[in-house]
Order: sequence, then C-alpha cells, then structure tokens
Amino acid sequence: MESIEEHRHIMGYGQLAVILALLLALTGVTVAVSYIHLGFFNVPLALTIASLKAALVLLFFMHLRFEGPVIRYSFITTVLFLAIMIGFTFWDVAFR
Amino acid sequence: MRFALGTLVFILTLLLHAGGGGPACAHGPPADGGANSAAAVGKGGQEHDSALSMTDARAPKEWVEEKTGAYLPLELVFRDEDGRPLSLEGIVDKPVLLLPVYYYCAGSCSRNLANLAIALGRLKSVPGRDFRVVAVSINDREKSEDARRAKKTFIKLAGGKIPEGEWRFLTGDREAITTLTAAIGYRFEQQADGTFIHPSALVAVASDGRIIRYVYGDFIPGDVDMAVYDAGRNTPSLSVKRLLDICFNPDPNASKGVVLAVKAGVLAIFAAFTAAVLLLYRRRGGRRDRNQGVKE
Amino acid sequence: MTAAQSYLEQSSPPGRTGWKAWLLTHDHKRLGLMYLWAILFWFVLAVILGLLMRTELMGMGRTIMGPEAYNSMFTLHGVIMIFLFGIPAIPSIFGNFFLPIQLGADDVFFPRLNLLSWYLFMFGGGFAVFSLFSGDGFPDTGWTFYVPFSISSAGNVSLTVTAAFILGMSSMLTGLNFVTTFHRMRDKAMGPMQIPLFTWSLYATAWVQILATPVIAITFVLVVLERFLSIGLFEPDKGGDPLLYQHLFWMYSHPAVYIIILPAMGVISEIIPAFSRKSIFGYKAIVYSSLAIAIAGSLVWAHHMYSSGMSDVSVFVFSLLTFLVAVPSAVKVFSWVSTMYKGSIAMSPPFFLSLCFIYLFTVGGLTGLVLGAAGTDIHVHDTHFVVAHFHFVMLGGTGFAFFAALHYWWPKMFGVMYRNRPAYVGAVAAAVGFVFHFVPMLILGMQGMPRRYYDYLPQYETGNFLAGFGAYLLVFGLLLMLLNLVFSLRNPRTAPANPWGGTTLEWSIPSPPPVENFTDSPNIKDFPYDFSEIVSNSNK
Repeated sequence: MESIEEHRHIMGYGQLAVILALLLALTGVTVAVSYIHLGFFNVPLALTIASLKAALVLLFFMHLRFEGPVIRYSFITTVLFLAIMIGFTFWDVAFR
Repeated sequence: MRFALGTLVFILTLLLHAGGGGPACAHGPPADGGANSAAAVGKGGQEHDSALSMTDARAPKEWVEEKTGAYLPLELVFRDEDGRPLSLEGIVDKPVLLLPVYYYCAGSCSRNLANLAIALGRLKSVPGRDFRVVAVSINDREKSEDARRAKKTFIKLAGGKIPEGEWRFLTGDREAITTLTAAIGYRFEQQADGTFIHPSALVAVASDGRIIRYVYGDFIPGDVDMAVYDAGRNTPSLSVKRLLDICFNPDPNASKGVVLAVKAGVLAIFAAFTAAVLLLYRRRGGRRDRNQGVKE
Repeated sequence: MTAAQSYLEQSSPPGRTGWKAWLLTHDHKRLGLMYLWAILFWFVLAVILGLLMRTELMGMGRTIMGPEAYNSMFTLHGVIMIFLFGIPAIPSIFGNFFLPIQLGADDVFFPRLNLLSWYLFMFGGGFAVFSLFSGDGFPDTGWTFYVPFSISSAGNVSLTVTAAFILGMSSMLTGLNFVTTFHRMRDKAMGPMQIPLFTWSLYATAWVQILATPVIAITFVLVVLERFLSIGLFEPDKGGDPLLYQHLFWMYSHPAVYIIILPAMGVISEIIPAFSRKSIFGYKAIVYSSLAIAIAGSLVWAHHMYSSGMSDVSVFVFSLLTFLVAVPSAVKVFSWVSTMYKGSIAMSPPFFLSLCFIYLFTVGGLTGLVLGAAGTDIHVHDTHFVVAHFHFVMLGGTGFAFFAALHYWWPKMFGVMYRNRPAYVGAVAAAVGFVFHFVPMLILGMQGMPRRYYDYLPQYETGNFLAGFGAYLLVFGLLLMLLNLVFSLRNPRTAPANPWGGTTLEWSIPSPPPVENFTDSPNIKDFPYDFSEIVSNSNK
C-alpha cells in the first residue's frame, strides 16, 4: 500500500494558534464591517471574508495544504458539485 | 432463534394493526361528519383549513341539477351589505353571475371568490357594463357585516377591474336561501360543526332572470366570458361540465382487506426466504446460521 | 481445491465460528453474499407488488383493490425497487465481492465500515417494513414524496423517508469505501488504464453516491421537519416553495438512476468481451464515457420538472443538457457492438442476458430522448410512457444486467455450475414477457393514459389487459432464473477457476475464492482484456 509511505506533516501548536488568531481577527472584521453601510456590497463582502476563513480552516485545520493531489482534486470536485447544484437551481428561481 | 423471535414480533405487530386498516388521508372528517376539529387535532395537528372543505365521499353525486332555461324567483328578498332589504328584481336588470358561497367558508369559497376576482380582470366582456356579479350566502346565520367584510376583501382583490356597486354580497334568511338554491338546482348540506358541504358553481342569469348557463370549478376566464355572452343574448346554453370541486376523501375503511393481504404476504415471503436460506446452508454442516430475523 | 479453504468456510477475522463468523465478518466476499440474500428478498417482494398492481390494472374499475391500496402499492414498489434493489444491487453485491479482487487487493480499504454499511442497509430495510405495519400504513404519496401531499398525508411518510435516509448512509459509505480502495489498494503493477471496466464503472458510481446522496438525506430531513414543525419551507401557505422540494429531490434522484445503470453497464463491459473472445473495443472511450455519464448525469435533474411551473429558461437549459447525457451512453453501446463484431461468439446465459440488455437499454434510451426534449415531454409527462421508459432502462437495463451478473459470477462466488437450459428458458420468458408488458405501455402513454391511477377510461382497457399477460410471463421468467440459480447450490462444488474464459483477475483464483483472495501474487496483464492466451489455449 502506497499510503503508508506518504509524508506526514504535523502542524505545531504555534502554527495552529496563528491560524486561530487570524480567524478571530477576521471575525472581528466581519462584525466591524457590518456596521458600515455599503448597501448591496455588504453581502458579497461578508461572503468573501467567510470564504477566506473557510479556506483557512480547510487548508490548515483540515490539512488540505499538505495532502496529495488526489485529495485536493476530490475536494474541489465536491465544491464544484455544490456550486452546480445551487447555481443551476437559480435558472429556475431567477427567471420565474 | 433470533429470527423466530423477530418473526413473532412482526406477526404480533401485524395482528395489532389488523384493526387499524389501510392508509387514510389526514384531511377527511370521519364518516359520521361530526367532531371535525377533534379528529383534526387527534391526527397530530397537521391540519390546514382545507380540511373543513372536504366532503364525505358518500355525498350525492349530483350536487347541481342544471335548471337551464328556468327563471329565477326574482321576488325573493335578501339583505345587502348595509343590511337593507334588497329584492333580486332590483339587481337582475342586466346579465348577472350568481355565486352561492358562504363568507366563513374556510376552503373552496374563498378560492372561488378569489379566482373570480382575478378572472374579472381577464375577461373580454366588461364587468359592470356587460354584467354584474352577485354573491349570495347559503348560510342563513351570516349577517350583513360578514357580507360587507367579504366585499371589501374581494373588491380589493379584483384590483379595480369591477366597479364597487357592480359586485353585490347578499345575505338572507333560510327560506329565501332554500327557495333560491332550489330554483337553480344547487344542493348543499350543513354539517354538525356548522360548516357546509357544497359545490363550486356559478350561474349566469339573463337580465330577465332566466338561467342561462352554469360555470364550474376554477372559473376560467374563457368559461366566464362565454357565460356572460350567452346571458347577454338570453340564449340558454350547455355548460362545460368541469369537475365539481369536491375533494376526494379517501375512505380509511376501504381496501383494508387488500392491505392486510399485502402485510401477510410480506411476512410470508420473508419467512419463505429465511427458511430457504437456512435450509440451503444447513446442508453445509450447519456452521452457517444466517440470521435474517434480526433487524436492528 | 479442498472445500475447507474457501471464504465460505474460513472466516475473516480468523477464528470465528457460527453466526458470528458472518454477522461480524470483515470479509468483503461474505458481505457480498449477505447483501445478495437481502436484496433478492426485496426484489422478489417488489416484483410481486408490481404484479398485484398490474393485475388491478388488467380490468376497468376496481379489480382487486381500491385507490388507497393502489397508491400505497406503487409507493412501496417504487421505494423498494429504487432504494432497496436498484441502487445497492450491483455495487453492494458484485462490487463488494469483485472490486477488490479485480484490483488485486485482499479486501476493501475500510472492511469494518463495509460491515457497517450492511447493517445500515438491513436497518433501513427494517424501518421500511416497520412503516408498512405501523400506524396509518404505508404512505400513498408515490416514491417521489412530492409536497404538499407528503407533508399532510396521514401515512407513515416520516418513517419511510427515515428508512431512505438510513439506506442513503449505507450507500454513501459503500461509495467512500470503493473510491478509497480504488486509489489506495490497487496492486502496484496496475495502472489506471489497466483497471477492468467493471471497477471503473463502480468508481464513477461511487463518486455519485458520495456526492449526491447527502442531498436526498437532507431533503428528507426537511420533509420530516416540515411535517412536525411546519417550518414553512415547502408549503406555499406558509411562504414556502414546493418546487424547491422537487429540485432537491431530483438533484439526487436523477444521479441515482445513474448509480443504478452505471455498474450495470460495467457488468456488460465485462461479459461481452469474455464471450466474444475478443478484447473490448474502445477501452478508453468506455472509461471516459463512464466518468462523463456520472458528471453529465448530475447536471440534468430538472428534466423531471418540465411541467412543474419552473421558469422557461430552466426548461430550455435542462433540456439541452439532457441531450448531452445520451452521447456517452451511445458511445458504450457502439463499443459493445463493435466488440462483438468479428469476435468468436460463445453463447451462454450471461451473454444472452447481456444481448437483451443492449436491446432493451437502447430502446429505453431512445424513449428517454422523447422525454428529455421538453416539447414532446409535455405530451407524455405523467403518462405510462414515462413508466415504460424507466422500466426499459431500469429493468430491461439494470435488471437484466443484474441477472447477467448473477449468471456470470455465480460459479465464482459459490463454486457450482447451474443448469443452462432453465436459465435460457427463463431469460427468453423474461425478455418476451418484458416486451409484451412494456411496449403496450408506451402506446397507452402516448394515447394519454395517466400513471399512478388505479382506473382508466375504457379506451385503454385492451392495452392494459394484454400488458397484464406480459407481466405474468416476465415474472415467471425472472423467478425461473432465480430458482435455477438457488437450486444449483445443491450441486457439488466442481466449478473450475475460469469456466467462461474471462481475463480479469477474479478468473485467476479458485472458485470459490480463498479468504485472502490471492494465495500467490496476482498476475497483472498489460491490458485487462487480452484474450490471446485464452484463444491460444482453446486452439490446442
């Protein structure tokens, strides 16, 4: 089995703490920005920050940064699938 | 051992539910027509108001006996929305669409009135100029305040497509109501809880009170147009017999036999399968004891 | 080969005896058998329900049951056939048994998770049976559980959809297992383009199982929440949208039918070369078309909703996409037929059933085009044309492929040879019965007979009456084949390792296989369908 010889990367507590701090900071940013009225752009902005945080969690806490291509592509496939499911439904909802 | 226990449990369950019977629609009132709300609450509170508009499946088939060509008893007196007496003669001086409803109907009446309100905007004929609409309550206990309230709602829904004075909402006493509905061949039944079973139908009447045509179901603008047109020419015509808007109320006691047979059949096939598998593998020295009875 | 050494006698993990050796097994082969018995039970049950429905339809008015019972029948028939037979049949039985062997591995990557999948399958099935016997009886909503009726219907909707939820979990875990095994447990000498086509089809299926099943799981949870808490997601009265349910439901259920058909196509891709003594034509094309079907099939769900009231843009887009899905399927049919061309055909029951598959599946696919085109679909939506279409692809397709797989791999799984004549008679009866049963339905559908009605207008009576005879013949054929196989288990275990002359790895190990699959390391060929050795051996 090839999997046993795969390079395992253990993240130290320090590195994990840095990511946690970043996430908390971004949470603060989200809250702060919500008090600024940007009209329509509040939503995309909030979503962008949320996506950034999700990416940090995925890459570091969930180890995707250190996995091989198979797992990365599998994950991207899943995201694409979700995007299609939600996106295609909008062909119905948006044009009724 | 376990499969025997499992089969026993299933048989017991089967016997317990043999009295229960087949699937039932949550809506229908029990066959005796009473305790409508009690039944509704008992079934887990999934009720919607539409439950009240469902009819007994054993109701008479012909709810409306078309009396095309006959004349309305124009001398009948009802009360208008302000409580003043109003005889039919007073308002049937141009083609009239007569719609028997009751204002507290929780089901099809609101829908019918709403459909009519919306259809009024889509007609080729002009409401008010070519015809008038008269809604009459079949519930003798309803008052003119109820009529007034209903008028406000449905005039608003019509969105200005009909002048206010051209859509009347009437109430009356029991004698007037029964005479009128008998004249148009419209049958309805009051239930123990005060609601009514009744069909969805409107009658197009000519300016002299002659019954011209019936329109059923959802009051499609095309049908209504045709009715108004024929009423304008005072030529009685055939109605398009759309399905009477009476809900199919599945009878919980029907098909009990078949469902029971299916349940028994499932158990029998399951037993046969397990027996077959056990028999097959017993020949191999009994070391394999497939236990299909355990469904955890 | 002494009997004591096969997986039927030796347990994995070793040392267990009695029922524990099976109910707590880690062996993918034993799990395949356990699935087999359970799934055959569900199949026979659903077939009989279908026969009952067909008997009711043979005469006008009430023949043997009324509308309430009929509604429950088609719901039960649908739920069992889709969730308890169609989706698990080939992957969970033959996939579990043969995927590791075809890859040269000794088991799947997560053997205990595999066992859990089986328990979830049995548990979900138990739930479904329980919902038949308890409370207000089985739901009468149809297996599609459309709202708002499924929200307000009194039958055991919540129990049944929970059963489907649990079965979905079983399906997801099986898919996960297969994907991981495919990537991590292949023999080192086997590259991607040396993997047998059955395994490739299972791989594509597994992806769809993993990605699409959560959608239906959550949808059913939402239905249960709506029933109990009236959250107003689907009910128009409360501001919800019934079309949302339809989108969510079909987002899984359309890929689900590809879960049903892809492994079947994989089976056919195995059988055709073996009995044509010729390498498969277009190996790469079949691999890519399997993946393409899995991907494209996930894009087209709203073609079940053309007349539901969704936007015209949607109708157009999904109709366009649906046409795309037909292409990879056609590629496969061309490849199979080309494989047979100039091959050295050896007739056998699995091959005969595969030929039936090719014909019936093609007809089903062509009628699917009528349904995929939005314009023509409006005419035949919710008629028996639809019923006939999906039975052509799911019974004529996967059903016949399932029987073909049974006949192909039975000697390997049990070490016994069955009698050919009853198999042929059963197969012919099933095929002829199938045609006489479902072709009238195509015609009735185009003439306007609606589906899911227990009664019909007088002009449809002749067609329904004739179709009933076809149904009985079909069921006779299916049961004959099953009984033939089951009775063959009483024969002595004399099947050779390679009775058919196949080239994939399962034919290089004894029948039935030993617990560890390969006692010597597997001999990986450069190309999985290299028949040169078989042909030269038979020429000697």
